[in-house]
Amino acid sequence: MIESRKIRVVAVVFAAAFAIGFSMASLPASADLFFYSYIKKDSTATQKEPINVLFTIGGTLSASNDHIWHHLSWSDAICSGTQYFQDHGVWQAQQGTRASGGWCDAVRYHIRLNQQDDDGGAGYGTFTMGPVHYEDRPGGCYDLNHRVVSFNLARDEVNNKFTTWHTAEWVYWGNTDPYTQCDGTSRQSDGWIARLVTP
Amino acid sequence: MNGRLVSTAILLAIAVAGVTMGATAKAFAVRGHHDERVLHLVVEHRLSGPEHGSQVVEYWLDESRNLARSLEHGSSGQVVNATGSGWWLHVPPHGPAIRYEGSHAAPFTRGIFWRLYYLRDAYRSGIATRQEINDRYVAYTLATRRAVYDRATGLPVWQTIDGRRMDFVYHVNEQLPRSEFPESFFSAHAATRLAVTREADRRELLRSLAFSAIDPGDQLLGRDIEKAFVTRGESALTIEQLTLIYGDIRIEQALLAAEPKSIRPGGAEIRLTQGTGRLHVDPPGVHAMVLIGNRAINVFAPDTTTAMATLRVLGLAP
Repeated sequence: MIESRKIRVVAVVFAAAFAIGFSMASLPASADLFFYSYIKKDSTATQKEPINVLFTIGGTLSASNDHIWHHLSWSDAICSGTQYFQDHGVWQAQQGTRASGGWCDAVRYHIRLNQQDDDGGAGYGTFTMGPVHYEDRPGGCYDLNHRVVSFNLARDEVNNKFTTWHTAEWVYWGNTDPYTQCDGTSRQSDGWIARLVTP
Repeated sequence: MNGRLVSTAILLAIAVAGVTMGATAKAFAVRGHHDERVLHLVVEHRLSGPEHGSQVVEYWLDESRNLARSLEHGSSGQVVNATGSGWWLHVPPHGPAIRYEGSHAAPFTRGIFWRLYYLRDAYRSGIATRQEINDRYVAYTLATRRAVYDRATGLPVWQTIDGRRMDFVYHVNEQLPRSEFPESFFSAHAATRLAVTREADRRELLRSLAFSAIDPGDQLLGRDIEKAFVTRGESALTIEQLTLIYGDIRIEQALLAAEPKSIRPGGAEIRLTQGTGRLHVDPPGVHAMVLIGNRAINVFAPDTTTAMATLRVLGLAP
């Protein structure tokens, strides 16, 4: 009787240990924050624009602006609210913005920019990232503000204009989290990043 | 002589009156019974203040059939927008046209009409107020928006939103017979390559896919499905994307044109039953990315526990 009770106790302990071990094995190790793949209006906002263009290897903000002007003729965007990037866990306001329209052009390509450094990890060096998008201005909730028509079209426009002069690589980030705009349309990236080598 | 002058004057007056009445009838026809007519406008939208400038837009509006088309010139070229019951079409200067399909009552189908009639429609739906200014003008107000409309034409003269003013200058304002427009004019089709995002019932979308998607069903971990949509043709890199929204859990599944050679750096490896996966922290939530050849499954959840539970429901995690 005592032996069978011992066996039952051991079995229960073993089963519990197995269950705990199994569940721990199913969870990933702590995830390190590396590149936050969206920008937001503020740290609490749920709506977010996906990063889809990287200007890498010597991709300072200044150099990126120069290349954007040279290849796309996009200048400083006047109508551009401030959004925030996360850089190594710290939220910081965009450092630059470029658009195809000179003023608040109703239909335009638009990108917000932030310079970061990959700390030698991803091989990007100093780079500038941004969520480029193509937008228009329908009426109603979008009066005087823009609605995103497509992230992918804008990214492809940048890639197409750059790749005549620069090396490019497609990287899959999978940042396809959709957001629903105030007119009810849902937009998202297809998750691919155009990584451009700027020198 | 005097009698002849008087007769001529009377005839002239009648002629002038006729022309005036004709013009007035045309103007009232804008608001009147014009089921068989299309309103054609060329409008200069003038924005004043720090962000000043102007944009000229050409409109064709068939309101009785909820059909609209607009043409404008952006800095990159000509842009066409069209809307109808349940759809919105955008034809950009470069690349594929974009068509978005939703329900019949979707608000985006009023996007073109609401560049002119938003406050008028807001009043009709009972959320804006109306103020009679004088015999010529009426004003509508909703929160920080205010617009003044011309009673004769039914069109806005100016509006302010959050203190920014836009004036509407009409270079063309005419009613045209609907018979002048072929069916293709207000069509949801495009002559160029077309990318389509379609909202529909989850099961209907799953049946239409080119790949076998994993279906959690109408409920996922206690959340009801809120929205499902499929996108095709918008990118050469992704053939098809299915997105299912269950509140704070979103699942996107895609058929990629090719298996990725390079992926997002960082994150932590996830143990899966098939494919490879990494978990990334994207505050305030997490992103679990699973790749099985050229198929991608991306789960967005508020925390790691929910993300892993979702992957188990999908049969991807043990």
